[in-house]
Amino acid sequence: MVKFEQVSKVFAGGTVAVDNLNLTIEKGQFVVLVGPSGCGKTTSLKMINRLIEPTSGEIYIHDQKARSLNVVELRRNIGYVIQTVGLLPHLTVAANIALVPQLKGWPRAKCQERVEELLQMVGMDPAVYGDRYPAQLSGGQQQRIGVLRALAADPELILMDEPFGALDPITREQLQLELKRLQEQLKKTIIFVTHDMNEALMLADRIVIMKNGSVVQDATPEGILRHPANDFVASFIGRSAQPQAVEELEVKDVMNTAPVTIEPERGLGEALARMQQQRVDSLLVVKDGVLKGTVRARDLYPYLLRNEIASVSEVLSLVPVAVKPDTPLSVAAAKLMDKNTNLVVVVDDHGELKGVVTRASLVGVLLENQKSSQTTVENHVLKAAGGAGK
Amino acid sequence: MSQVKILVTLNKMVEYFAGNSSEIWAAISEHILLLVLVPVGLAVLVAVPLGILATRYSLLERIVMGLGNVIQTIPSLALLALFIPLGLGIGNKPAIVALFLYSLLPIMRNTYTGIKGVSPELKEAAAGMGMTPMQQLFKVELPLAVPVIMAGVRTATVIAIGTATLSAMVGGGGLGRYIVRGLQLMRDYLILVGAIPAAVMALLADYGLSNLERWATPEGLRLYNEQR
Ligand SMILES: Nc1ncnc2c1ncn2[C@@H]1O[C@H](COP(=O)(O)OP(=O)(O)O)[C@@H](O)[C@H]1O
Ligand SMILES: [Mg+2]
Repeated sequence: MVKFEQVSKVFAGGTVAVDNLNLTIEKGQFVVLVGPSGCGKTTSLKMINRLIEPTSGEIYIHDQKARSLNVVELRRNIGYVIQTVGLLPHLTVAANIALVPQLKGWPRAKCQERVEELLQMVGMDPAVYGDRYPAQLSGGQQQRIGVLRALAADPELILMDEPFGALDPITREQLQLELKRLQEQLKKTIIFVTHDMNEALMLADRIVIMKNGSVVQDATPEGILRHPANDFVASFIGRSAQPQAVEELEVKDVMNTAPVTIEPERGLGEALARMQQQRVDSLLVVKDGVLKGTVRARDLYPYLLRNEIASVSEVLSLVPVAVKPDTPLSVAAAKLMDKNTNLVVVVDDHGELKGVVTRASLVGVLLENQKSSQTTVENHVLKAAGGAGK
Repeated sequence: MSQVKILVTLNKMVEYFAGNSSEIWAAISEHILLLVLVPVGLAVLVAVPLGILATRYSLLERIVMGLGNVIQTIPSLALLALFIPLGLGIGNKPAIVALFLYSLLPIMRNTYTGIKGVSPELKEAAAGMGMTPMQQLFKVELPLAVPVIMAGVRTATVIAIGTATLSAMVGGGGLGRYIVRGLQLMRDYLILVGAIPAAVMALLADYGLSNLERWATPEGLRLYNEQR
């Protein structure tokens, strides 16, 4: 599907962003390029849709040289999602989604049909959201539309550059799950860039770890966890070493202590503005430190559409699953899986909100744990081999 | 000036308005149509494309903006007078040309900054989706630059309404005639007959065009700007 053959990019000024990259990506794969900031991920991605041209080497798409293809056609056949969302602010949600189909000259009715189909696919009612403007959506909804826009013309290949990087952890996780589901359903080839190893592990069929413009390791998520190619990879998959064993951990050790909240007497307009600003899809409603419930973006729209003045207290829904700070992590994890929710809230005996635990926080813990046991094993092996290295 | 004298002057002015209303209306419409709409309209037609081109070619940017700045620094009266010896004679013609040149810079500069101000991420997203450069311009950059361009047109119009009063100095028409005549004859009320409608028109134009600016701004863009 996509093949990099000895591709290098040297920017004016001499920065070697990509250094002799060789990579073949098969059709239907979900490949994640991961690595620290500045390692050349974005540059590699943009060379595929030719927003950046390589200095040397050749990129093939469907066995054709990318530089021999018409650049406009090429881009219309590749979905592209970026971190800043890049929705056109003056166009409605529907018009944004229909952009590429329109550029490709689809008839109007077909565009409209496609827009409705896509919105329904992510559970957004076309009648409610189609005519909204991007500025009227929460951060998570905006990026959903960003993803739908990339899918609209049904391209085989989709490029995503840190699409969820600016979202809060909870919304990010929700979108990751949705994306994974979409990919399994639609069988697209996705090349996804991130600097977040947890995200890579969650999404990828195959992870390509980059450093200084070249590939350090290219393997499945399991492969990378079990056999990190070198110290760089090892430290990259478990940055913050967590000495405690998983069994001993309590909720308070891993919870996110700064969830986005709002007071019940605030207006709905303010609630939406806060969701947009913080790029979340729901807020925890808190009065004097005590958790009252949650408010979700989709509960606001009926009111906002009717221009009704209402306060958060009127739309709040029940508190999702709650645990205490000293609840064992395993119990919280079981609740997360059991209730099929993506967060549990942490409250103390007085009902005060202390934090939230998300699926992402669990993945982080498990990874760190795996890594520490991994290094112990490796040390033994190394010692046995007389420290001769790998 | 004593208060009595002011009242007398105002009274004479009102009488003059009453007795010469058709002549004054003619002067006002000449002022608006010939000395403002024509030069500003022509300036829009020329300055918007130049502003766009300046965002594409840096050489053109330097030439066009430099020239615009030079024109803007020439004193308005000097610019008006300049075209008399250059073969345009006296009357409205040199005035229109001078007012046209004078309007170019604000519109050109705002077109340029409006387009340059569109966020690079949005431009790249548009390119990445497969828009041709023309589609990027017409579907993304220009719609997003509309408020800024309109602000330039408003500035140019307000300046033109004021500057047009000077065209009477080179034999042109409009409200400036009353001012010039008033100065020559030392009749204060005649100065006011020209100056007051001109001032009112400038205020009205500023108000009206700022409303138009808001109206022409796409709704989604307005919401977006409010949020930032
Ligand atoms: N347009 C550019 N001009 C010069 N240097 C650039 C440009 N774009 C990126 N770089 C440099 O190339 C390197 C790789 O950048 P990038 O591909 O954006 O990294 P990543 O996406 O992995 O963070 C960095 O050192 C960056 O500073
Ligand atoms: Mg990047």
